[in-house]
Amino acid sequence: MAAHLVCLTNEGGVPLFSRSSGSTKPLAFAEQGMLYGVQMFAQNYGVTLQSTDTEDSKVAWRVFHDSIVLVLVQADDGSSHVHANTILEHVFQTMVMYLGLDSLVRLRNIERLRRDLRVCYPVIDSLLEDANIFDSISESVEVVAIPEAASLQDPLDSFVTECESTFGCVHCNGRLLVATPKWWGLSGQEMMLLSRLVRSLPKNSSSDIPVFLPHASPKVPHRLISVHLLSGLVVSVLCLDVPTLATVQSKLIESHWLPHFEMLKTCLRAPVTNIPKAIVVDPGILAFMVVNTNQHKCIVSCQLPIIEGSMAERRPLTVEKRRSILASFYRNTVGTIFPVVHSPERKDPSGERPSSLPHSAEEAYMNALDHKCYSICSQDFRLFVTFSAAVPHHAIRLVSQQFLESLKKDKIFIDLREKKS
Amino acid sequence: MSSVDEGLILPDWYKSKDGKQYISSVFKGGKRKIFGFLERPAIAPQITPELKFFKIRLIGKSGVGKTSTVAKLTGQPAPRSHCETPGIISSVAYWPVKLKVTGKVFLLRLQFWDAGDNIAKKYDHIHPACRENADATLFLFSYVDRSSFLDLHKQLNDTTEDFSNTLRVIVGTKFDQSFRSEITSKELKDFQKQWKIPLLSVTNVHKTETDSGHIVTETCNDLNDVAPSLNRLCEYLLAYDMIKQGLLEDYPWVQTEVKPTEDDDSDLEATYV
Repeated sequence: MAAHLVCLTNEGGVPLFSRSSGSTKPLAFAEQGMLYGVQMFAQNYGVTLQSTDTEDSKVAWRVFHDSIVLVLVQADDGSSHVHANTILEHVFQTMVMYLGLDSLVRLRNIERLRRDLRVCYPVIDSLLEDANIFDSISESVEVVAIPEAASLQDPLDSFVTECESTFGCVHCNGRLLVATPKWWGLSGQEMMLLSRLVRSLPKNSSSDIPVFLPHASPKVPHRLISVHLLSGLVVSVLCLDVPTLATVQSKLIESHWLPHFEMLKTCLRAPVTNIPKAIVVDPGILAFMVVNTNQHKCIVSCQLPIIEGSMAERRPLTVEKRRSILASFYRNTVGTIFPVVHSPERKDPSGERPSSLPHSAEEAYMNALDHKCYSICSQDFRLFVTFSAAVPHHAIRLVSQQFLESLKKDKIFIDLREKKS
Repeated sequence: MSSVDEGLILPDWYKSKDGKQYISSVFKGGKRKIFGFLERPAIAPQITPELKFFKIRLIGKSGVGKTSTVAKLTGQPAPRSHCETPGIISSVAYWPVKLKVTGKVFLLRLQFWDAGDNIAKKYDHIHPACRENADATLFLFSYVDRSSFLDLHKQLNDTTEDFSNTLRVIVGTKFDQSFRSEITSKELKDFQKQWKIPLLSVTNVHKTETDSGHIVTETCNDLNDVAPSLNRLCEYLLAYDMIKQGLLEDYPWVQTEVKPTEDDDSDLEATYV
């Protein structure tokens, strides 16, 4: 599904950048100008233009702090506009993360801003991609669910303390493996964007990158130091002036992490299925996503093994297909049937319309020729499951409920944030 | 190119049977092996070579190809389109070389320190961090951007920086487009004569147009693509290191300190890779 993003200044409509997903052709200059023109026309009449639908695509506009206009053009999949708004919000906060709020609110030198904004491209491109969209649409961070991770908590805590910080974490193949209580206390959006930043780094690198935290510190930069311990396994720490990258590399890394080399290897080799070990997954389940909306964590798995001779084997779906089914099911359920849960930090109008239902829905399902989907919305949890079409219709509700119950009890959803006093 | 033939290391050693057992620790199935900070290339203990560490810093104006050069030399995919580097990114590559004279094998651990030019101007901790204890400085220019070449003089003359303790190398990027080069070979020659600095020319990406009209960017990561550049760079680093230790008297283009320029320069030839 192609997506285009255009960023302009609100005053004058000077294009700052435009990005297109995958190999789609970028929007022509005239098209960018037209998208801005419509918005400016509305603005001149005191109207806020939010979104529109064309025959085959959706367009969403957002103005941030009266200075930056973002326009997103996406193929129409019938889902709510809420999600387009969420992506735009993420894009703007990515810009804040790299450049700080001040330089985006008060535009001084446009030419320089345009050049500075180029640092954001890798993260923004990843937000427009479809493949890993679950953490961004659910405003949560994707986690790795393996019990071994707990044994890395102590080394991480002592390493972070040694760096004179309280914010630190370890990412494994782009997903959060273990983090300090303060890190868990960041907003879902911040954790998600930082994960994407870390994912964009070369896998043999150590880096020192100035970042702003969109909610916790939008005006004061910190240094995000990330070191690849193994290729694909990164430890990150947020600090101020000290320590330097060279100190971290030469003095702190080996002493803190070499003793845990084998454990790190084990974590890196964790199966792609990403299911907590203690949980038995019904063989009819092809893919699932579970979100804890309070702790902003999610687990996604689209690569569940198909058991030989099982019902699912009769009409196997590719991983790509499962992923797109699950994503589209999420988008079509949340914002229309289920209410949207935003991070409490998010203050913008999300574009959510009042539900058309007279009651609040708790479960939703969908049947198709080659698959079935079921979702549950409970207090803090949301579960979305894709089943094989062979699973009998009456079973999917019970299986989903039992699955969610066992997931809820898993260690991965223990709240590790600092208790607010 | 006498200076190349009488080189310090064996340039084609990596193709030989002897070299293969070392190369296979950093190259597997035509792909570079990627090492995290806690990892090392696995080489049989009886042939374990001496490990040498080098910190290499890159200088050059924004967009000249610093990140792509590092990506090529360390075996990572180069960015598809131009992105600013958001801070300091330091990447590691290992490369084995064999000395011509003694036959000794060294494994070099090259750590490239790449910092975005714009970001370095904004935050003042970035330049000092890159400068600290650097063994070599690569000055980058692009063959298709004349101003980046003219900037070299300014960068080499920068009085706030002290390069006397580092090996200096100039690196010309986008060498594949040298047919539309904006710099004449005479200028390059004169430049080298003036500064006595070795030159390394690299092609970091292949751009091919597909049937549908898209431009596909591929990093030149093949063994045969990167080996000559890495060999050349390692040769200079080793020579520099040996001169400092007093093991080697002199080596063409490599200086440990800024010497007066009245030396006999009869053997001046641009040393392309």
